Amino acid sequence: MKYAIHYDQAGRLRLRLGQYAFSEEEGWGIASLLRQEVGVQEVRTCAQNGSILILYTAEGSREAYLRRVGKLRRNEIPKAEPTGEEEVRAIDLRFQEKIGGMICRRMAMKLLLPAPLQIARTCLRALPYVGGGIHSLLHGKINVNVLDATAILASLCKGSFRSASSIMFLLTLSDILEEYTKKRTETALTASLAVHVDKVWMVTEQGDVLVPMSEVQTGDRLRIRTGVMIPIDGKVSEGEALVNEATMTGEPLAVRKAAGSMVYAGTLVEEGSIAVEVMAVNTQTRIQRIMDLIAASEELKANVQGKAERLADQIVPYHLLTAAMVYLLSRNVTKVMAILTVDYSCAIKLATPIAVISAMREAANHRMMVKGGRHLEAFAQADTIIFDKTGTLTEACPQVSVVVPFGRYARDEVLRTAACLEEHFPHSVAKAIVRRAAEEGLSHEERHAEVKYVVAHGIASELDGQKVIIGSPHFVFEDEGVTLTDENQEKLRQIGGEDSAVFLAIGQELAGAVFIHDPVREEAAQVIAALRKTGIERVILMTGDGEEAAKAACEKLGITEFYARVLPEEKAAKVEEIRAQGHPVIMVGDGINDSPALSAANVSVAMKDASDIAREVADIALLSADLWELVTLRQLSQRLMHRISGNYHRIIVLNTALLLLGVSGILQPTVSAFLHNMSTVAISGASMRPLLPKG
Amino acid sequence: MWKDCLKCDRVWVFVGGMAAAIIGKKVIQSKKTREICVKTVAQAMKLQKDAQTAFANVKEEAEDICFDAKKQAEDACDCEQ
Repeated sequence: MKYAIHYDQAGRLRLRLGQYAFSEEEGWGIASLLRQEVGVQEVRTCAQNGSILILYTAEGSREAYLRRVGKLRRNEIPKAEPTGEEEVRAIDLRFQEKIGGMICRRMAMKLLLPAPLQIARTCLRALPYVGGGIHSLLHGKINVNVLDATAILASLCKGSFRSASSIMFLLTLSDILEEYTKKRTETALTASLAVHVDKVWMVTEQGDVLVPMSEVQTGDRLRIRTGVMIPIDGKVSEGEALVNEATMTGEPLAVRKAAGSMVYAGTLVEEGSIAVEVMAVNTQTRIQRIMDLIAASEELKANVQGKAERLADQIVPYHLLTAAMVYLLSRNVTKVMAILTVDYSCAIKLATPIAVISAMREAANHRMMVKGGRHLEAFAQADTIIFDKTGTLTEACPQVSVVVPFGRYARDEVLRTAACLEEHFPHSVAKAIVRRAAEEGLSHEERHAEVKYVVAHGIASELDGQKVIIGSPHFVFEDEGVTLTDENQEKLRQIGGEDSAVFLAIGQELAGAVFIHDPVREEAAQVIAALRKTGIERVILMTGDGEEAAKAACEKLGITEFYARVLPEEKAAKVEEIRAQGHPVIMVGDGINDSPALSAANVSVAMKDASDIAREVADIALLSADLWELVTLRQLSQRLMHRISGNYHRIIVLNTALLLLGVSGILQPTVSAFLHNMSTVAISGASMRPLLPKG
Repeated sequence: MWKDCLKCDRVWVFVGGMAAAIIGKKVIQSKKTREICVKTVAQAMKLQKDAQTAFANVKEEAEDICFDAKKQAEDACDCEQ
């Protein structure tokens, strides 16, 4: 295609292909093609004048880009879906066109249309507003529609058609602005979620790399591990896994998938790890999933938002009553119109959801997925936080500290057998045992029968005809009835210290114990102190580990309240008990065993590397391993609540001032309406500003 | 009586109205009018498109100028340092 170079400086190249050179979708296609070139940072296309702006680094080659554009054929330009940014730009452009068109049309009508026709046009345009008001009244509602209809009707009856026309123009303008602001905020949230939250592990020559899902293309290889939903359609190229395809086939039992098998988007890896070659990126499914999340978050409106909306509707009858009183006392229709054109509900109904959605977007930019405004509100109001220990307050990478054999078993045999059983599960403790065995060169053959995972307890299988179990003391000694002699107990106490232990029993006989050193995270103590400063009064640690391990961790972290050896259902019961005492609770966890407690809390947070079930159940999912994100989230949520309440005050003060100025005759109805709409837009616009400082 | 009728303004207004309606109908239904309307709408659409293009060009050129100014300011800062 022919092009003209309109701007050409190092790192910035603007080409123009002319009007009608490509459509909007083709423009996105061209941008997507050019982004594949080396050194390209950003590409922006504009279908209106056929321009392409390429921003590139020093590594980029201007000539290569020009060649690429030159080789394009008019009929072969690929179409593409817009990226998040492109979609936001398209929304901005459509809004500008709409507003520009509206203003031009109004001016043209005023200048060219004869006066009688202008009156007829005004009356025709008033019909939908009056109809809306009547419809609301017939349904027993006295809402903003009634206010608008009354104001327009009053103007028409008074014979001031210009005022009626101006009020309708401003109402339309306000509707367009409202629609634009909401759409833009939602699209920006979708884009943020797609870039910051929707990530996958790509298999590369340098190892597995975490990349945004939007960068995945056909032919790439993705690593999918236990508990993760498969995001694409593809063929397994490596590994083995049990995949639950219930979402597709309805079959509840997992199907074994190995090299050569096909897997589909939306199915779940229940066990194992596979590398999948991408055959189709189901963009629609993925985007739909994000859109569903946003739609659900609309349903999960913050309570404060619901209350605001109810309050806004409740004010309207009083508003009308005030207008009626003013008319009775002054007999001045202009003053009545000035009251009717100003209302509180527009701004309250618009600014609050915008503030909430913007906060959710900001959270997404910090790699936190918040599933609804209500959760941010609950996070801001909570005064109690409960932490799970392993993987939440401790390092994600625990180490084996000591292996203690008992009876006729040798140390290496204990470690080898433990690794042999644990290698089937992705739990951090299991990984530590498998890693230690590998480091010591203890290879193991698969001699045991099928393994059974007992959630929060351990693993059971059969080895040489004997039952073999590995897991927590509760599982091994209480549930399975293996005996621990006083002598062995003393031995363990001396060796283990603060470390937590998993026990191995073969044929009802204790074979050994593997101690796991699970140090608390470096930042954990500071994070807990910072959370206390934000108003958290109770910090509780709840763990399935032994008392010693829990106590040692609490001492290091400055936590005074802890519950050790707690089973999943007990964790949930404890959360409910604290809630019943009147404390709003935040539960932070990562494992399958935390899921009941996560569901029971007022608001729950799943850590990075949490199981998919925990992330599904949790109201907020962190995608960064940094515990400081909890403090960030607390600040974000509290600032959001502060902003919402600040907005109320501003809306009430501004609109009351406008009402008073209208009643006193200082402001004309059209000026009141203009100022009212502008203040609504200004407050909504201000609600989109970031809540947290940059950097 | 007929003379009285001819003197009455309302009659002339009625006749004029009828004539305008008949002529108006003919004009609206004529091929020429249709052509003129189509051309006018097309011209308006073209004008709208041209205005959008012109606006996009102006905006982009302004962006480029701003980029140059920013770059110059940055370069000046670097030199001072």
